[in-house]
Amino acid sequence: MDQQKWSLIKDLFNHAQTLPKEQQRGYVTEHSNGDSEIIANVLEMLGVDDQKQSPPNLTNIVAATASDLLLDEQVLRVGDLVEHFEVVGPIGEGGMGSVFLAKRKENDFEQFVAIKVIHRKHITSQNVRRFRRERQILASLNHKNIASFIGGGETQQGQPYIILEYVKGLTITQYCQQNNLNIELRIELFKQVLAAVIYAHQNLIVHRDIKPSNVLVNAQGEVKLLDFGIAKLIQDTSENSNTSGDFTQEFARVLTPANASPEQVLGSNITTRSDVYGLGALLMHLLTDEPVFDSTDSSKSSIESMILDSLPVRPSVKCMACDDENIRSRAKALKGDLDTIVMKALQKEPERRYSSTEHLLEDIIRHQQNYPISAKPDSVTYRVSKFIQRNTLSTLFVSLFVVSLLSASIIIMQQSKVIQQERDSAVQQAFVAKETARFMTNIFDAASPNVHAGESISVKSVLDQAATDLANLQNDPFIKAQLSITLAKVYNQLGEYQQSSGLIEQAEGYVSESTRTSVFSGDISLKYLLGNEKGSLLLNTGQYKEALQLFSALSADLARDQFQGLSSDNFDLYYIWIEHGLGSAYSYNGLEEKALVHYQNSLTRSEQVIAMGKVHVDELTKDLASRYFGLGHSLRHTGDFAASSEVLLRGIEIEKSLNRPPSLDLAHGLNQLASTLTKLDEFDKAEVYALEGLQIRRDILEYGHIEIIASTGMLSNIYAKQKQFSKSIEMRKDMLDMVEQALGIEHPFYATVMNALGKLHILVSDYDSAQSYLVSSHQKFIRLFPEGHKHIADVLTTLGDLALHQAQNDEALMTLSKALKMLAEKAPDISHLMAKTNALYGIALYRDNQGEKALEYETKALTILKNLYGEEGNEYQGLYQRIQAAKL
Amino acid sequence: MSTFSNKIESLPTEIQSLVLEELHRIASRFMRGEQQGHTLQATALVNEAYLKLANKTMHVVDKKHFTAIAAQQMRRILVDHAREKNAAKRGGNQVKVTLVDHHGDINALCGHNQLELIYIDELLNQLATFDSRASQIFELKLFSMLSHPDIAELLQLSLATIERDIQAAKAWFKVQLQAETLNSSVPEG
Repeated sequence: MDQQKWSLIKDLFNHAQTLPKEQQRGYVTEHSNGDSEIIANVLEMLGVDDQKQSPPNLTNIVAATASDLLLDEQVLRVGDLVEHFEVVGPIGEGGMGSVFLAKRKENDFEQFVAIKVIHRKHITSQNVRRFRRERQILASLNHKNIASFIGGGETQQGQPYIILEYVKGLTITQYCQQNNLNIELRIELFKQVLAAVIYAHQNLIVHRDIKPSNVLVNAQGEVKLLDFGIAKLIQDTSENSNTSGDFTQEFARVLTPANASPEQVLGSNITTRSDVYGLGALLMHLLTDEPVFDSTDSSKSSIESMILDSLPVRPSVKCMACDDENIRSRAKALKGDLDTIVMKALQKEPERRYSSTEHLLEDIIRHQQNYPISAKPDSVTYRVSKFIQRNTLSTLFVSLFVVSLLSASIIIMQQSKVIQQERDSAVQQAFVAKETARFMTNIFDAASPNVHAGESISVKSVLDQAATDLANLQNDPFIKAQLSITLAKVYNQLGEYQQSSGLIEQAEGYVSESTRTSVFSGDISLKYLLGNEKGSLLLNTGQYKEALQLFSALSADLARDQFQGLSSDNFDLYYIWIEHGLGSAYSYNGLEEKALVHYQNSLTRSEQVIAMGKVHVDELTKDLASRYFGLGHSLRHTGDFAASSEVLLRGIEIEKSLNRPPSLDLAHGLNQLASTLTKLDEFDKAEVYALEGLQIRRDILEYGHIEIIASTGMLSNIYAKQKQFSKSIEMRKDMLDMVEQALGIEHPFYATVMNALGKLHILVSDYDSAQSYLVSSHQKFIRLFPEGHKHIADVLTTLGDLALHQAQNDEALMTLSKALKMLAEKAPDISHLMAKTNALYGIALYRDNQGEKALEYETKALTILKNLYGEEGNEYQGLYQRIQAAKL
Repeated sequence: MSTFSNKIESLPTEIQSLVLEELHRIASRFMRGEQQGHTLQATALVNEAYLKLANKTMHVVDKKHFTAIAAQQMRRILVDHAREKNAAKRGGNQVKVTLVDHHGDINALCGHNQLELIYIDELLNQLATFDSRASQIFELKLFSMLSHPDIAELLQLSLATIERDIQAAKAWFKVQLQAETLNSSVPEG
């Protein structure tokens, strides 16, 4: 039709429609310029409604077609005949086809079968090939736990079908739940599944889609494995060669991702171990009533990333986390063997799973018969590979550093907020917050499911990824600096000092870039965040002098910045940090009097800010216990043991009142308290606290972490005091190994431990060993510390002691006087070391028959000891008696 | 209003689910009044439509625009289906049919509907040659079942224009469907 003509027709029609029927014809004729074609058309359009015969309802036609299209999906209809079987109705729908129930009636005998067909629209040559393969596979399998093959072929329309034994029953998980089966019975059912899969494997067939809905249990309690739809002949090379690409893609659609093994998600080589994974997942579901990964609210890609990256939660832990009392009660029985078996079957790398289904079955039988199973818990396996073990951390730790990460970003944002108010740049704050949050979210996306379930997690691998992402992040240096610092902090806490140091360096670069180019302005905050982290890293890596310099410089800066746009809230926070840092730095540098002052400052300000309920209360409350621990540490070192013990107990109380999982902070406090208690001669109590601390550290940290070393040292000390010297020496040696491994032999700790070993060997009269430890220790200290450092004086004193034991009096006199000279150069010192050195020197003098001079040192030593421990203490008595003996 | 051009598959999950949801709604509108138990099948239709959509570069201005695209897609799916079915049934032979008893029970019409749909498609194409606007509006009405005001908003036209175009198109369709002797062969391809 002509456009112009149509346009006229349309206008006339539309207008005429508004007129009464009887006027329409007149109107049209009048306005159509006598064009009879137009008149006819318009009248026709107007007239259709008059006709008796209803016109078709167009919408209905569309709907009917849609309906037809949908109905057409069903290739079989009720009443259709397939071979001798009459279709009764649909049973289920799969990704590619449908399953129908059909029956054959012969005399009184009624046989039900399941007929499986492909949806018509999926009939492609490839799918038909696959369908035939399934038929072929099924035909070759004859096992009581596999739904048996009855027949197959193609309908006259070329529709391929398979006829199978009809299993009337429930899926295995439903069956267990409805019959409320106990663990033993569930395992018995699982063994039937295993039998079916083992049989299939023996026939070179991998099922590849083991999941609850493919495992039915009939009324007799017999398991039937179904759906070999994507099963594969192990040596079927034809499909791997030219169509493997398609095949993988096809899986992407066919497989239920929640049940797929990692290699199936990746599209890599599928072996019988893929079925081991599927069986592990099924066992997990049977034991816990939950799938390995919760896929209810997850997208396909997030399920896939869970399968690839998340460590599954152990069955016992999963049960424990369950609301259902009944399920929770299973946890105890699952702990141990069953946890280990499931976890081994669910390993990400196929080669770390059971090498065959038979092995899986063996372990299950061993478990049932109470023989040791072949699988070892992860932690042990992991120990084989130091590196991998490093990556595994408990959740306790994860939750801790989530908190620290978030608080860092809150601090930054707080600072940005001040600046924002000043400069009215709301965009900036929002952006920083958003970018930070996004990055954090990315880091913890992978981790979060495990955080909730309380399971071990590969944190370090997540972090490493984050660090790599960070380096490649196209973003403002300000944000990158902040994120680098945060990551550095986490690495630092993990004891990964090298990575931490690298990130700090990186952060320094970003900070200076940021001051030049960034559109943001939180530089002041960055300086303190960075400084605090760097200082802490220096302390952890034994660079005490540098740490002291750094904190001192920060302290000076802070005093200046207080009036330069730093918010008062942040000023307080940084002040508390720096004072604490100074306390630690002075303490490590052997200047406990000074340390005490700074620790006290930090604590006092913390409590003030918390009492006022200001901005950083949460952050400060979290660290409050640590402030107490710092102070308690210094109080002990300055000889105020009673106060130290009180302060440390208070800190532990605070930490425990926070109701968080046992933390490293708590372990630190416990260790400190143990140390103070030893000074008070309360060794048994001390041992309890020290062991509690060591346990927490072992749970959270890996072997050789500096804090485990410290705890071990503490216990070694306590055993020494309890005169269990050989136990003590064992622990010290262990400690020395750890120090060497984790910190290197140049770390001051190494020399300190050797000094302690020297002391212990003196106590067991192994003077040769003592000599060699002490000499090495002395040499190292000389290299590491300035002339006159306390540590050097300490080892000299021990060497003097050794000389006394070996009756080398001249040597003793010389060494001890050197030590005394060093100590005398320090501030007024009433330490144990001072007392001991004086006492030993006195002994040497008595032996040298210089009684008068000796008395002077004796008096000095005993006065200090009396002040420190009282006259009853072992410390006092031990040295007192040695002096008396020397007088004879 | 954000404009983006993307393969649906690479769209954020929430948009993907929006797309699915919308298609599902459209599909179930077709099914309204039909027998029960169509949820599964409606989903299948949606998936089908979705997969076709997902494989092509799509330009979504907003949800309404998407609806228009979905309507086009739905039209294609249904017409393709009708053609396939027709070809399968008749072995590809051209066939003469009469469209007489097409009112009343939809189920009774089974078999005819495919041909009629093919014809509707043809008529929409014809209409487009001399009135593309009306053709588009009518397509939306038929295949997305948007309300007239929604169509007006979507196409940025007045409601009156939409109403007039639909009235005219409907009348023209009816004339074509009736005037057609229906003894002519069904257009192929």
